[in-house]
Amino acid sequence: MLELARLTKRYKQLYAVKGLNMFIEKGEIVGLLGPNGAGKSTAISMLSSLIEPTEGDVRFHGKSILKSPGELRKVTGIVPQEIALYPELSAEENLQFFGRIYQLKGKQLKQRIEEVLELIGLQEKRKEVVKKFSGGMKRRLNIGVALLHQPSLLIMDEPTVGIDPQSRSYILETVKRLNEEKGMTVLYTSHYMEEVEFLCDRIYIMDKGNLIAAGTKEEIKQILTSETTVLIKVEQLNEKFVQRLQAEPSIHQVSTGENEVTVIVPKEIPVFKLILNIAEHTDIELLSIEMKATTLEDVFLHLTGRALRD
Amino acid sequence: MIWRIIIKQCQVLLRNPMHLLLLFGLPLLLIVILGTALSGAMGEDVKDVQVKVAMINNDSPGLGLQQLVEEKDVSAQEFAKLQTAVKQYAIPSLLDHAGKANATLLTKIDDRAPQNKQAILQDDSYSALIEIPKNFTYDLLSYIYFDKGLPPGLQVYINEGLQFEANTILNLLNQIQERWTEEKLFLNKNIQLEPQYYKEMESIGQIESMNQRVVTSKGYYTIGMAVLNVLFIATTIGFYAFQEKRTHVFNRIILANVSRWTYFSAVFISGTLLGFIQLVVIFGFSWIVYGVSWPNISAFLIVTLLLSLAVGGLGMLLTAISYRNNSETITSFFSSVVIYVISLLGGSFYPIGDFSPLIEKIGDFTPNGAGMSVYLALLRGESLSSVANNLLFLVLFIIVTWFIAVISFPKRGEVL
Ligand SMILES: Nc1ncnc2c1ncn2[C@@H]1O[C@H](COP(=O)(O)OP(=O)(O)OP(=O)(O)O)[C@@H](O)[C@H]1O
Ligand SMILES: [Mg+2]
Repeated sequence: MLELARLTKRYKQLYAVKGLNMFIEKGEIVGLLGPNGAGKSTAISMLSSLIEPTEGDVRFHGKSILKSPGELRKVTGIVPQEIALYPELSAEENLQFFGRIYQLKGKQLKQRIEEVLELIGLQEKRKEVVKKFSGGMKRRLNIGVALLHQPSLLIMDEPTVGIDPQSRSYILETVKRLNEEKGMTVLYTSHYMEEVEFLCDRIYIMDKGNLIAAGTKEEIKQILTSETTVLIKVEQLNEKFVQRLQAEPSIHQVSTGENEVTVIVPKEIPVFKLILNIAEHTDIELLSIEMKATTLEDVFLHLTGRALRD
Repeated sequence: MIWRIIIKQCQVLLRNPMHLLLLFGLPLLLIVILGTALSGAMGEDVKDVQVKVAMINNDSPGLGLQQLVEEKDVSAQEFAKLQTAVKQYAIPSLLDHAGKANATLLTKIDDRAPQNKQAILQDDSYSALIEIPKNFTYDLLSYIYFDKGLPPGLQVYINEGLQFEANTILNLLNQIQERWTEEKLFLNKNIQLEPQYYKEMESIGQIESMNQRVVTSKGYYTIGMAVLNVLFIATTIGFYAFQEKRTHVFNRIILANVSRWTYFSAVFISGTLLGFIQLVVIFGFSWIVYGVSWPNISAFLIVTLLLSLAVGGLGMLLTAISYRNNSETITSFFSSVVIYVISLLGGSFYPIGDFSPLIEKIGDFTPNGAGMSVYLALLRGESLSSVANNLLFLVLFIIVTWFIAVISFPKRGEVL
């Protein structure tokens, strides 16, 4: 349905997105993952016809949208990363305005506003000005606006940043429902692995403008089958311990938390013995050593050497 | 679609009580303060000019006309014309007219017999004594219609003690005499004067022959504050429009397949509309509260519309530049510095142009200054054609803002 071919955006020296190839089929939920500055929003702006790529093409049903984005725009709903609403207007007035610019009128507009308000659970708050909304409510309305014209393709750019867990799961459930009940195609951008794991069939992972992995959840996790993630909990973490772990050639990735360290090691090495040894030499009191199930987070760590979030 | 965006713009403004107050309340407050505080400074103490004039009429219009008819073999049609002329050019009626038509000039004309002349000259309450010569009507008509002789002279005695009033009268009389010559020129060129023309001449004559309407300090500051504050409509519109970019609402509008020119035009129209409303509110206020009224409403509305269009253009220009720079610095700079500078030059705070013709010139090259010049002229009772230059400048200003705005507004796919 939607295809991105060698899509590139360059700002002076910086490649915000570099040679991105991607496709989305009808009815899918596709995840686009990446840390801050990966180029997710830039990619979305290009594929939704908001900015022109430096190079490459976006094709919708086989036709390039670069010169005539009208068709795509008509059936696409965009949930921007920012709260793109009028803070002075009420939820209902916002919906009215955006509905009207999408050519909805009269009864139809009214009905759609009702449906959307119900979907995002803001019926009670319809008359309240957006300024007074909580972060979660604003996020939900931000999504609602994109749904007014009943798009068949929904593009969501980090729709859950900075909100409470309750609103977050509400949003995730809603997206899932829209996909299942209405057959809505969704491109979901996030830097929360668990959201993407929950929602998406296929996943693209970007970093620094480049696509670093793509495939189904399983395929991506396969990347790590030869390695294993180990979580080490300690009484009191010290610098020497971490340095020794990093210096150890058979240990691939070391990332630290509060009195815990995660390492990725090849499956075949005797990991317990190795860690016990290092702990002894660096005066570390070990609390536990556990092997973790592979997560996308680990994949990302493996691919980039960095955690997805700081 | 344009209207949707405009309505929403107004909705947003209505939800900002602070902005509303600044745009609509503050100017009224400023008019009250400045108008009251500076009324003395503007020479307003001379309120009504009371002019008492005595007139000794040695002429007999009927006899003069008859004499002319006998001498010149006048047709019936011409006779009627001459009759009208006699009435039109009678000094008392002209002066009387002037007095009635101008609220600030009260002429009181006392018709006196010739034998009272000495007594009148002793009477200090008269500003002037006008003595109309014996053959006034005959001479005047011969001069104008038959190109014979010289225009009749008027004997005017002036009361030195009432210099100002006397000068006013002298001015009026001078203008009346000039009119005779004008009239004659037209006839010599064989231009057939339509009756309608007489009417026009009469009305123009009224304005010219009268002392101009006096612009009060309240009137002055109404105009000054109106043309100053209407500029804030442009910056407010600019701020709102940039807010739409910052919050990415603009992107939503674009993604709804609304052309950016539609959006852009909506910005222009909103600015124009709000500017117009603001001006009408301000002038309405000063009309109701201070009785600052406009002799020519349609001319007033034309100027107000032009100025509003200039404001819309300015708002659109600020929007375009801030979109291009992705920063509202230009609008902030405009609202915090430029507006005050050009308002000072334009004379919003004080008739600064009176001190320096250069400043007056520069001031006329600002939209507010040009607007102010036009408004002042209209308030004085002048016609639009007398300020054609300022009007032309406003039109050019609107065109130029459009031009620059259009070339600087980001192209498709450049805005983010
Ligand atoms: N208009 C622009 N001009 C210059 N650089 C830009 C512009 N927009 C984005 N960038 C740069 O491009 C890179 C990618 O930015 P982008 O916003 O696409 O990242 P992202 O993956 O959406 O990040 P986040 O998770 O923080 O939203 C960043 O380094 C950013 O600084
Ligand atoms: Mg982003």
